[in-house]
Amino acid sequence: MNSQNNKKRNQIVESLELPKDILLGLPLLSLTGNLELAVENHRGLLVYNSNEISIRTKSMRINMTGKNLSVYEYGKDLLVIRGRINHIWFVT
Amino acid sequence: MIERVSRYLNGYLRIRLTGHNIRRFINLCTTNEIALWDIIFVDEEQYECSISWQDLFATEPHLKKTKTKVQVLSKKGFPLLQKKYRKRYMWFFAIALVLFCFFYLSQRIWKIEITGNSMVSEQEIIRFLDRNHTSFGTEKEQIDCAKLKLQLREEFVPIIWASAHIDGTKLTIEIQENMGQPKETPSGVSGNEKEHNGETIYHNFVAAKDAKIASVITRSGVPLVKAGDSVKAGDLLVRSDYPIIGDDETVREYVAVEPDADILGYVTYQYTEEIPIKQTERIDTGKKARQFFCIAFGKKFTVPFWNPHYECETKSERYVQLHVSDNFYLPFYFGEICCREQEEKEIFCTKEQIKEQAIQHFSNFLQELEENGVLILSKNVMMEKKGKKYYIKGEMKACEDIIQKVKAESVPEQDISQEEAQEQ
Repeated sequence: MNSQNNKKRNQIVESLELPKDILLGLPLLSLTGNLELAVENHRGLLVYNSNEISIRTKSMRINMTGKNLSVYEYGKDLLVIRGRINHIWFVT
Repeated sequence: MIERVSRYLNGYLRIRLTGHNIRRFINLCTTNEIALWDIIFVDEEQYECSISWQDLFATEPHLKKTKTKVQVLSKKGFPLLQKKYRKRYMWFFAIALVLFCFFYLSQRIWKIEITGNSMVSEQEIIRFLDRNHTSFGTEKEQIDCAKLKLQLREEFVPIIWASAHIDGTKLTIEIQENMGQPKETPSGVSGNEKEHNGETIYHNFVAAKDAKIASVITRSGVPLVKAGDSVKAGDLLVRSDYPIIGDDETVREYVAVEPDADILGYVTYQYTEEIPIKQTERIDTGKKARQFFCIAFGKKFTVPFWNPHYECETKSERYVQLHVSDNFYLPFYFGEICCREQEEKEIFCTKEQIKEQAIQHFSNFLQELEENGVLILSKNVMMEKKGKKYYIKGEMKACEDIIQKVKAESVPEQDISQEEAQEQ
């Protein structure tokens, strides 16, 4: 039922060409090489150590592994991670 | 970046968080709009992060809730710096003074660069700028570049294009000159008629020196000479008043025009020079001394109690203007005066050495003539020894423009009236 609702909402947003990050609450990711990742629309940190970070968002979890990972900036809207990022994967 | 600067100016703390629920604490802080940055994972129960000192007090309830302990590692930022260097306030005062001086100096012109001039000298342009209140140290706001370039074109006839712009503290004047037009009163081109006390002034052309006329091309005015004539300096060549002859072949009236002609003449130049066999030569002894100086706001300051000089010496001076960047010049110059000791020695020159010197002097003389537009047709130079000197005598035939412009007398109306009276 929930997935059907999401599908419909997605269709409406796509047909009206509205910004998905605002209406669907999707995270906005900006990646600079493999050295910096900026995440907007996050809901906080779930896991944090120098080799692994997990970020909670409204619709998914963003996991990443790497080396010397650190949180450079942590605000309500923006989360910036620096370090050597090796993998990023999404858990919905 | 701006945020980082603002954090630095406000001051912040580097803290260590210890506890079991640090991630929860961090998330709580973010939810409550407490900014944390540079969060570093130390181990599972220890994190380090930065926080502004005002926010640290706001975290108290969240610290209690998550049972996290805070340890302040260091204090950073401008307020701390202020506190640390409280006793050295004179440093801050000096820095502020330097900044103010830089700001003050940046509002004025400290260098004037003139490019593209060959006929109009740099000194002439600088004197003109001085008259127009644009000189070393003038405020930039007072200089109207658009007006200045128009004035430059009006003031100097050879300048056909001028540009003036200010970059930093440097005023750059770029000019382009009409290379086909001579600087002085133009002879090949019609002279300008200038109004003086409401009357138009006309000119006559007279011979500048003794010559034999080579060619005459008259565009306006009455030529009084023809090719082959011999003229002396001051002889009238072209008259400005043009006679109007009536039907009875008498002069009815004179019409004044500004003459325009090209008159070339054959001129003879004499060259004489004496070179003594016994000459005094100055030789460097190898000893030298330096005197340093600086110029600030037009005043020269040398190192006190240090003024080296020799009995016989040559001095050379060089200096550089202090500048922060290519366009930010300051009114300070640093330089050195180099004094080299010399020894005067009397030598006896051989004929070959004197010949070399004579050739050098004579070629300089010719070069000077050619630079003034004189075409050398033939030259005959002789060298002879008389007593303790060599005498160099030469004669050169040259072809050059011999026109000299002089103010014309008023139109001879009296002459006409006398002639008419005689006829009656």
